[in-house]
Amino acid sequence: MDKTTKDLIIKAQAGDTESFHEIVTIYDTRIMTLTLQIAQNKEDAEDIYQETFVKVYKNLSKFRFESDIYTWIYRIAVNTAYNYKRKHSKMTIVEPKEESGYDFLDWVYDPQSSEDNREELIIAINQSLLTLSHQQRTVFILKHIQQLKIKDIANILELSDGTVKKYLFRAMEKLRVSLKEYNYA
Amino acid sequence: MPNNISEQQKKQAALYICNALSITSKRKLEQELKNNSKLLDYVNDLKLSIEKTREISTIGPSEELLQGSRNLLRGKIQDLNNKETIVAKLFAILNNIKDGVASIAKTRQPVWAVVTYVAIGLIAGRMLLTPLDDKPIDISGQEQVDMNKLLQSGVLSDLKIDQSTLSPSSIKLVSHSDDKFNVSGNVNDKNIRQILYYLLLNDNDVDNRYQAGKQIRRVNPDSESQMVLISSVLSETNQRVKMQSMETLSQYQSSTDLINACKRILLDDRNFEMRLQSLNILEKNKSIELIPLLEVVSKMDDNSKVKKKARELLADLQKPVSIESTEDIQ
Repeated sequence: MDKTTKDLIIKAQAGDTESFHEIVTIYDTRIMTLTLQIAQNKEDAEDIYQETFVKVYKNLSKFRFESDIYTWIYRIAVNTAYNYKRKHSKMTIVEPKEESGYDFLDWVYDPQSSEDNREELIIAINQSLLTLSHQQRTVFILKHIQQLKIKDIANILELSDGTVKKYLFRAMEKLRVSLKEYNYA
Repeated sequence: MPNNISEQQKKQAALYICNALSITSKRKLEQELKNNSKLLDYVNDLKLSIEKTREISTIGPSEELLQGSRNLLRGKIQDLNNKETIVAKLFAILNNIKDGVASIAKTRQPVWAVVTYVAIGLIAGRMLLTPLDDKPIDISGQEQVDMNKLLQSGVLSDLKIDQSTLSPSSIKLVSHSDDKFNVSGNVNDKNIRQILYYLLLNDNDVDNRYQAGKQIRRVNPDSESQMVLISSVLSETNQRVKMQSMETLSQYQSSTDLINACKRILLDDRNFEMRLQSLNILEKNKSIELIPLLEVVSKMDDNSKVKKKARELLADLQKPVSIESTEDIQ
């Protein structure tokens, strides 16, 4: 952690709200990317983003510099995203738009600037991810997109290694079946 | 050469890709891959589907989404800090109230618990509590009513505004269960005001709360009535009563508490008319501090009227200062 970031954290811990917002600006792109990946829709991703940083703000005084601040925020974000499903049902009822793909795409990707087959693939991948259970999707994203180790995923989500492996296998198998026709296109 | 793959082999293959196999199991599987083309295809399919998913999932959020979220977060953090200040103020008021009042408040419905504390804090204030006796309650002619006594007697729970005698200069409050209790006078009489505040914040009957709110419109505005109305707009469950309190507040001079309440309504209230009214109040108290909040509302509010109004206010606030006005300042 560089000195500037450390200074910002110390100031924010002392109650300087502007320093807190500077910290947000440093890390929020990565956190929003993560929440979009797990939630698969803009509204839920935004809710998780807000909930994450409000938790960070409320608990910042407890941060003791024993780990990297990003690791700490990241853990809060993953846990918030994982537990979000228990409180809200929106994640499971996302329906694809008929013509232009998911609203998720409207916010992260401009279909106009891409070739049709790529757009089709993106829609297929998102559709496949939505067929996974919330647990399967979270574990898959953390392992294969965020590239965490199984042990770390189990630790963050407070699951056993075996359960993580079970979710991973189910997720990978479902994606393999859904995306088989695109694999050699 | 075996060409079928078992469920167990599939699991092993998935763990192999996840780099989660022991060295022995990994070597064993690699050996199998050389002899089992179906298993090899399976592993390749898994790898390809992961690669493709990874490729599209690493696309980052748009700048517009990030900026909107940052602004919304700013509003939430500000709101959080304001709430802490208000809670601290309320605790300071409550510390002045005797334990007896708290025990009465505990018997009320949970949904009103907080509001009851606010109301009692405001109404009872520095009032000292006196021992109870069994005599009938008669507050006519008293300069200051003992609210604790009234609360314990229960007359406040079925008190109504007597509509038949209501006039611009007078108001009469009657109890249905205790015909010995009635009080009449002007809405600005201290006792009547306190009872109206209690009814607005605490009565179970929606219509009674509405009628109390209607009479509070006639009360000379002061900080006490403003706090009662703010409590009403932040906690009232009935839209008609809430809207009436909001409209009354729009006639009040601004205060930090009023501005903070409006900000909260603008972000949280589901009724677009409430949000629109809070924008009308904020319009009278324009300051550049409102810009982040207005940016969020102008982009993300569900209602087009609210969005339009927020955009207008925003444009007004972001107008460059004219040379003439700069010269005036100098």
